[in-house]
Amino acid sequence: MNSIKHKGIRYMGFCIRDILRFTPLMLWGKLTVSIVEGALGVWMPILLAQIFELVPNLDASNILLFQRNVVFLCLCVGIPPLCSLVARGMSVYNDSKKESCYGWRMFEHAQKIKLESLEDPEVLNAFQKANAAYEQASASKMLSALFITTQAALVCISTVFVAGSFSLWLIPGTLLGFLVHLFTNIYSEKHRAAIYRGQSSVRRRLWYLWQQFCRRESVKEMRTLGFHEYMKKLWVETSLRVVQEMQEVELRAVKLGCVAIIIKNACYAANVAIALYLMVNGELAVGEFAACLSAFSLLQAELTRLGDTMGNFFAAYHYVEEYYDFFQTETEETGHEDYRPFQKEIAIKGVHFRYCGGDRDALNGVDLNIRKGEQVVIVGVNGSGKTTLSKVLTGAYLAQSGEVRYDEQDVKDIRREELYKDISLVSQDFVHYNFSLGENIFISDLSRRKDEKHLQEIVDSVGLKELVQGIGGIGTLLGKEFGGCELSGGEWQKVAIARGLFKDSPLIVLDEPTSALDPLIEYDILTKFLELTKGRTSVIISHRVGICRAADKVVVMKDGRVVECGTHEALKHAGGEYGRIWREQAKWY
Amino acid sequence: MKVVRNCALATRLVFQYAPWNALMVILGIFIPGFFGGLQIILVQRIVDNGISWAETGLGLDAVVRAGGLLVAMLFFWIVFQRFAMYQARVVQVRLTKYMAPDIMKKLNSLEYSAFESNDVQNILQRVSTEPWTNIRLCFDRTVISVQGIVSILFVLGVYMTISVWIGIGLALVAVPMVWLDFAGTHCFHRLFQDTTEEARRMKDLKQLLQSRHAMYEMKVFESQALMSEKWREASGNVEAQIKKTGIKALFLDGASKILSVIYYVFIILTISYSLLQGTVTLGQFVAAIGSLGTLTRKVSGSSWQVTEMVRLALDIDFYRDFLNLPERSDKREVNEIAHGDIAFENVSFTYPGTERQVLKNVTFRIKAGERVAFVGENGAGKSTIVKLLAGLYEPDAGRVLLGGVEVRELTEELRRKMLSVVFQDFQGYELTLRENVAFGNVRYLNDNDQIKDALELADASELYLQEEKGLDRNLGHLEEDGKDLSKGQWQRVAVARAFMAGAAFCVLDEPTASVDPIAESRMYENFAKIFYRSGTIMISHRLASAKMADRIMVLDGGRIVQDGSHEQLMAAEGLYRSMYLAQSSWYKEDSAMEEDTSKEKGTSIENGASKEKGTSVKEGVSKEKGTSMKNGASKENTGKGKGGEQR
Repeated sequence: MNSIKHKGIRYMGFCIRDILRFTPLMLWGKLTVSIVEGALGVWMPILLAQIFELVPNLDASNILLFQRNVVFLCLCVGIPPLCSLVARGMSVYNDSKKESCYGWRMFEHAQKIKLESLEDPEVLNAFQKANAAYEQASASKMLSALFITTQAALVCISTVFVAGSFSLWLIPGTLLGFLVHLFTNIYSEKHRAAIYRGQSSVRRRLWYLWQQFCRRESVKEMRTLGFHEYMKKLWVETSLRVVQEMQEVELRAVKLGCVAIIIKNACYAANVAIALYLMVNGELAVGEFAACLSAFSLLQAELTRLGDTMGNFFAAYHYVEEYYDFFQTETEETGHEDYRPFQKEIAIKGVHFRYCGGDRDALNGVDLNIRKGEQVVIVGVNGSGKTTLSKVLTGAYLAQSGEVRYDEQDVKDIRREELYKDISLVSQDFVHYNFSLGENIFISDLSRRKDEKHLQEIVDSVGLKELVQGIGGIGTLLGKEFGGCELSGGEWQKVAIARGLFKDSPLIVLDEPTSALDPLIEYDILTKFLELTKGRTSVIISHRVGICRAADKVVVMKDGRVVECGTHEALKHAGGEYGRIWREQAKWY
Repeated sequence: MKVVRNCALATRLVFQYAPWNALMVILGIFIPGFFGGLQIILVQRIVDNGISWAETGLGLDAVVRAGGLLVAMLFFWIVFQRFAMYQARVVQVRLTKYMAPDIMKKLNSLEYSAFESNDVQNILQRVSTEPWTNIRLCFDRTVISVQGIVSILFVLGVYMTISVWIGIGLALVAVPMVWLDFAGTHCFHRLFQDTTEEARRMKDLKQLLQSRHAMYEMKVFESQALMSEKWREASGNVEAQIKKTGIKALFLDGASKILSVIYYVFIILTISYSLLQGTVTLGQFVAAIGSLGTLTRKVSGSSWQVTEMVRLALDIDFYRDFLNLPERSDKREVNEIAHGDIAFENVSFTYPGTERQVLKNVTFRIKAGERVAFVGENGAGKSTIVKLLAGLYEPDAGRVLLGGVEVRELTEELRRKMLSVVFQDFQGYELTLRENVAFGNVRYLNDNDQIKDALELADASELYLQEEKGLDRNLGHLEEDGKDLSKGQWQRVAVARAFMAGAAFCVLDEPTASVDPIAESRMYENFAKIFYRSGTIMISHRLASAKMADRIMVLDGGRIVQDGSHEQLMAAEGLYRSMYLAQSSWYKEDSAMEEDTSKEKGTSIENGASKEKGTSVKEGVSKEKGTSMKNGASKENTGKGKGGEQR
């Protein structure tokens, strides 16, 4: 409990700090507005009381005072709308800043997150929550809610004092009504939030199920296989449970609220009666009585407002918390040594790697040497750790034990960004950037983005020339998301390879590029890749053992270990795992 | 106008699903709306009667009566508000209960092509975010806004009984104020619309940041700079846009606010002046001035409410479009067929909303129990045949027949008995393993043997054997204890699903694309087993699987160019032969090569083949349109022929 409170205070601190940094104008603007509104709110009942006291015995002596008070009243009534205009301006200002400040901050942090963390659904969840939080401008909302709550509370308290100044008898009733209302509100709000949080996983499930009814791929299967009714049943049952629970919460809040209202109104009625009694007994002037009545009704209005904004405050705070939670995710660690390009070999020794939350090692003691200039093919069944190995090799994942050395340098100690200058890759799930074709290729080496000749060479060498001409130049936008040109799977694959080759690095990793390609294109792409990377150290990860014939070295992986290593010819007859895979694939042809 | 129509739509829908609660919401919000005006009248009575009682000693009962009424009213004021709030939540509950299933029904009755069209995708995107909440919010806002305006007018009406000038002033101010408010709202709304394009771009960039694949690339390529540049550009545009439009909107809003301030001051001065003149009683003065604060708050509040209402009303526009989407045209009535053959008769097909004809006059017949494979390059139309066969689309011309009846006329049960399909973009559902497999045939949800059998056939028994919870383990990340599967594993689950159905024909679209060689090999063996159980239609790039079929049909540019058994097709020059040789060259090592220890020869063959292949493929890809494909294919054949001879 203590730590949660502590976190709350710390996050509020973060929030205020960011507001001061990004939109200080908004903070001061909103603060001024709240102070002015609050002051007017306090002043108004006092002013009204004064006016009402004056009115019954108006004469020439106090007409000036009356006139002055009326002018003040005009101010009291006229300024709040102007204040709300300022407040609105502030929120527009904040809206305009939110993407470039809060969004940017998130964007920056996201780029630094440790790669492995992205495997963790919790991190992705945190990302989405934080995203929703800042898109709703929750920081500014929380600030407003905070100010308004404070302001409403102040007005309530001052009203209690105003009433008290007429007669002390009026204080207990007013105060009691105020406090009961406040506490029932806080209690209901907390209860609701607790239940809502408890439901979050069920809600996620509901959301997921509902999505399936609208997604093309799922609908297609539901219709052909006929499990639509089952999914529907699942959704309805789950949602009924959630809805029932929420209904109970609301009912409880209403019951509690009614009790609070009864107490509050009983207090109010008692106060009116007391005021009436006092007036009848002559202890209260008629004007004062009227002032009391108006103060009471103001109190009623402010109390309702207080309850509402307090709810808003908690809701907004919840979002703010989610925004700052995101910044707690682990960021990547990098080494401090300068990178010396490797001359001899990359040596992997006894590497163990386990994904966070995984129950077994993805890499279970891998030993492997890759000489400079060698073309290495890694084969193995699904889940044997091929892709993980490639990521450990490039230093994107750090091994829990064992070491990866570039000549003598341990990859852990190398400044990562320097190492990356020497590595290029075509990853398994290469990215389809919704950018222009050119950007899709030169993104691998931005320092040469202006080098059109190099770009042209690469485009020609991977056989994209016709495509470039066909779609209207290298600057054509790709991806139908923003009205660009959509490429086929094979064409995207070529773009990815062009991307990998554009960066002229000594080491290049190609990870299983050929799933879902037709045989002719697959054949074309793999041979082309081998041809184009001659002389560079290249690591190719593939399911298709066919490519091994052309490689300098074949590495066979199984259950997170390297089980065989050698040339295709040697391994084929060695009677081990490789021979088995080879025969399994070859026997069909 | 659209706003009014959409508000009416929301109200209609809410009344349709929760009539009584909706009525309660309206009453709960409307009745207290008049309390503001009544309060003025009551306070005025209390004060006036109080004064007369103080002076004459008469009329105390009137004071008490009015005071009692006032107290009662204030009590009910909040009770009603609470009640309305509660009822609004109940409305939400009822909408979830009753409206959601109706939406599902509508979704189920949509033509499948709608799901693949881009425009409809946008609508469905919105439908997928639980639209009943938007509907309810719109309804709530409509009621609150209307009530706000009515109650303001009522208060002003009461003021008018005090001084007619207030009414005249209102008449002068109202028109420009409404206009300004409307223009301001419009401006704010435009602000929202203008930035959607940029917002989508930023969303796209953020998506990249959440993908570990993209982040890996970005780190290695150090391409964050480009990302940041793009983000900054987009967010800068948004900022400029909001500032530009925002300032205009603020001006309009400000003008309206100033008008209202002038009007308030006018009211105060009029009433004060009247008091001094003696045309207004003390009670009227106290009541009117005392309630001014509430009035101003109400006015600025309801201007916000109306803005919000307009936003929400425009927001549910998608729902209207959704309701107007065309219903599916397949009749699904025939529940009997004479025989078990599949036939395409002169089928031509173009995807709705596109130009290119994907299938051109395709005719073939598959006899019951036959094992058929479709092969061809990317974009040749293989997957389209599957979709037509599943009755998802209506062909442009020709007929798709199952047992002599058009497939879209068959009842779903019968069609399912005939066909079970694994699509290329098969889905993994984040539910239990049992459910995932049993989706092939929900009747066997609790039949462990059936499910295990199917998993075994798909070579996926390790999925339940190694797990503590067995078949009831959770897949995906929705549940705490759930684990995601690799793509290959998901694919095997999808294949198991097809085995569950026990249909006369099993259709497999690229069943082995993501599985590793060993698993692929084992799966082929299992397919062979299945082949004896039922007819099979297989679509694959891996020609090895095609080889096992009785009959192979080669598609090229939307036409069937070859039809025959593997041996027949290999004997003839043609697309199939060239494709097969290209693929098998990876594995074929004739004795000559094995003796030759150097890999020199291997590479030389590869190079030779690749050069030819290279050019022909390029042609194939670039001319995907089809008509000229013939040339490409035949050139390729001669090329490949030579390649074969070399070997």
